[in-house]
Amino acid sequence: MKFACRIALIVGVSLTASPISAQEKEKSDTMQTSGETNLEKVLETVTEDVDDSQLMEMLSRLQENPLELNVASAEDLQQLPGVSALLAFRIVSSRKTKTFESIDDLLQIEGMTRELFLRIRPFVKVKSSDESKSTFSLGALSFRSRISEDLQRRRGFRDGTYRGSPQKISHRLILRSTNLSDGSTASPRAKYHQHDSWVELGLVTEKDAGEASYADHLAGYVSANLGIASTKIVLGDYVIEAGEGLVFWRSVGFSKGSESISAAQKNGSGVRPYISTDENSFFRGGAVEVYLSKSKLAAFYSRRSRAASVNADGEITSFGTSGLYRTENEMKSKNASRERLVGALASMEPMDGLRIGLSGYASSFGHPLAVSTLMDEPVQSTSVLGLQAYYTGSTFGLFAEAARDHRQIGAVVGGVLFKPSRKVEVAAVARSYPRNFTSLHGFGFGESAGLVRNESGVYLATKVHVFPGLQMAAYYDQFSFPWRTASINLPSNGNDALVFLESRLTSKLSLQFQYKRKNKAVTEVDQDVDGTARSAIGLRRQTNYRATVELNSSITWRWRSRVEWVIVTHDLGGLRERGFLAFQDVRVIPLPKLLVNARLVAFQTDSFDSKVYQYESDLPGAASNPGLFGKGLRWYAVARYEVSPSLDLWVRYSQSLKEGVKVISSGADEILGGLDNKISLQLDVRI
Amino acid sequence: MITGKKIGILVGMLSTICYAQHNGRGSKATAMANAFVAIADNPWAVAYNPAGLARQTSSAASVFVVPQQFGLPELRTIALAATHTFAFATLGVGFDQFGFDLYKETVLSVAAAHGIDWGVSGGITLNIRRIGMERYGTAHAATVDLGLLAEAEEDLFFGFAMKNISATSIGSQNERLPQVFMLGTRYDPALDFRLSLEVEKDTRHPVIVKCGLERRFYDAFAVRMGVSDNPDKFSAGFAARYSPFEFSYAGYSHPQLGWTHQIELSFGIAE
Repeated sequence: MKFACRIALIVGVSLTASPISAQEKEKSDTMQTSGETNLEKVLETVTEDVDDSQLMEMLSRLQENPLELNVASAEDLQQLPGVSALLAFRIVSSRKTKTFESIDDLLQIEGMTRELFLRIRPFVKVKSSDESKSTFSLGALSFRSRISEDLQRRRGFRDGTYRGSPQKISHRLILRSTNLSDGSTASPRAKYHQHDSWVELGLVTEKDAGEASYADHLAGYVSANLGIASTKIVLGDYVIEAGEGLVFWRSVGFSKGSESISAAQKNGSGVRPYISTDENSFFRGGAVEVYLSKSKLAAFYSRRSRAASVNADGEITSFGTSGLYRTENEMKSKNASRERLVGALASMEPMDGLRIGLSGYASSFGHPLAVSTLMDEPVQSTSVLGLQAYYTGSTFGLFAEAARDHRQIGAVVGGVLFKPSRKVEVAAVARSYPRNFTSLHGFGFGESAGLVRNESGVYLATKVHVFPGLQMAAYYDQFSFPWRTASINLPSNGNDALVFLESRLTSKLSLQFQYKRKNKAVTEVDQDVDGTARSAIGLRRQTNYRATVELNSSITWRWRSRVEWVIVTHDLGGLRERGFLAFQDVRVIPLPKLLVNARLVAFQTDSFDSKVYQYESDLPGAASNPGLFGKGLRWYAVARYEVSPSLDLWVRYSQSLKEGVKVISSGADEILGGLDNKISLQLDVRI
Repeated sequence: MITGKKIGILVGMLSTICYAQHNGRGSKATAMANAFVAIADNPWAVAYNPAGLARQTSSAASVFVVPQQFGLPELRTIALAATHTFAFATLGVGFDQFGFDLYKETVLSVAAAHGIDWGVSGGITLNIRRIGMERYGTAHAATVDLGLLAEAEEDLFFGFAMKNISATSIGSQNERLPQVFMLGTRYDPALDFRLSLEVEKDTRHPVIVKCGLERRFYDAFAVRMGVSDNPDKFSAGFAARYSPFEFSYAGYSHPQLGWTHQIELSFGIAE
């Protein structure tokens, strides 16, 4: 049968038959056990330029400890990439009439596409009746150890600037008792946090390359759910996710991307134990969450040292966010100041679908914060109070969060979600963050990498299931910065648009096309009439065209090919630059216990500015989305060998070979020559 | 006798010709603008995508001649390729010689390909390359090429090949031989009509986009054409078959350097 006829036939068949095929079930089982999560599609558009190890860690933990579909709250379900608030509500609502007998029942929920189902499948489960009846058991142990090293010596190691060895080493241990209360009874606590264990202990240590101490970053927690009082306690390190992130969020979060609808609303789920190698944004102390029948209360205290630059006047000019303490200077900023924080969350559900929440904290620092674009005057203590309101139905939702800081400056974000038909979803979000709003622990929706300040904008998004097998997602975001930013000394604005088409042509072949455009003001160097250089504000336009072919030839084979072009133009001066990237990716399970994923990438860009990103498969718990520039080749291979059901060994080798360069990177990170390669090993033990 | 003017042109062109030398083997590929990585259905798969050998069910041999490139008889190429299917794999061999007394490049290739299953085949080519320059001596190097070919549907294929994946260098200056990444697709809208589209990226040169088409008539005659950019090139050709022989012609035009003509005679035994 010819290909075109096949397409027509498959579209026709798909219109009448949506249940997932046995082969796909088997395929998704394989993906689940292989550790591959098929998340690249989502992650590659939302994690550009950031190393979101917290997100990867969260997904990795969800995979180890999936959400129980019969008791998971809507907030929990919304943490799954691609699950919108309305879909989460429909999943929760469907339980009133029928409990989930198997994960496949998710496909009966309106709006659950086959693609989304395959993507979230590893993160959800339906507890068997045998499991429900089990009483207290000893639980589970998970130990992960990772070591990686650049094979080329960076200048810092050659000249002794870096104090430590070139290996990056991290260990993570989680011990948990597994007795979940009987999920079907849906106790108040279970309604909110069914996947938490009775007692859990987590510990992580990390040493970055060049750091001297093997426990340069040390974090951990003990978390307990006290059954008698529906209370959860976390002692040690934790993060808070509340509302839309104006007051609290972890260091980074989902943002604008191909999941245009689910990115619109965050809907934080409260206190989460922290066990990431990301060294920035967490609290250290204790937190208590109490679940009542229709409400939840949490109180927490944190006291931790902070990496900061302190000037001669004894004022904090900036907080360190890199987590790198390799040189004497970097060591000086480590623990240079401290923060003490007291905070609370409260939320209640006066009626089904309506939820109102409060979140706030008061915090004080060891040193005053210096005057900056953020601070009008030096302050040593701040406080922020936020109010959230959510109404969610099966086809309509409203949400808003408003927050005020200690100087009574207010910020607000709010939006609407609407599903006018079975095939269409739309979302609109508006935000207004004044230039001097102080939110040191927030991460709001927007353009400025989560900074909840100096931005206002409107975001419109849609997702259309044109017919089974063809989906379109699109958004348009307009933003303005009412005050100067770090890179521009004047108010500025811009806009951002994306159209993403995904077509599943046959059971094994899918095509994706993505058009992305961003227009944003930048500072340019211009020439005055007399020829002298001056700074001027110009418009930078970037357009990306990306096409990806994915072929799942069999359960054990996946073929992905991509080409992408980027065009960057500057209105002022007429500079026009191009970038190109193509890759071939193959994932194969040649032996029952061996998984191999390899990719070869060819790229050429006119400059760093026209770099092209590609999300890479990395070791579990790690994320890698390098922007490639210059010209050359990059390749990597990841292999996993299942030594026993409780022991996995991973190895990854990556290499970039650039043409025509004498050095890569700069400063102490500089590598001589055009070769940059790295090897990583990981051991995963689950008992 | 080579003229002074020609020497000037030659020196300027040699690097271009050399890096592009993996192309232009076989009239079919040339006529389709070298968009051949997802087709690779004749012995020249050895030079383009060794994975294509695994799909060939006949033993075949071919001789290919470029009497003069861009009108310069000094830039002539003579190439041979042959394939045979064994029980364990399909093997291919290739030999080509390019150039003249001042610069001569000789390549001997051995390729093996195997159907990995599920419509995917893989292949590998080992090339032994000898470059001789008058008054400078000779240098040898071994390079490895890798190829994959996937059948998504019976009329839709995807191909990938990487030339010199071994990143081999040559000579006393350790100059790395070209590394070329090729990614393409082939679609047959009808049994006698074939389209191909490909991107090629030499690590040192801009990306080339190529597309080609072929129309066959009664399995005895075929016409082919193609276009590619960087630089803009147009190509065309035909083939006439009188089984088991096939004669084919291809020509392509370079915007500055003009036309190059190529001829090929092949012989195939269906198994």
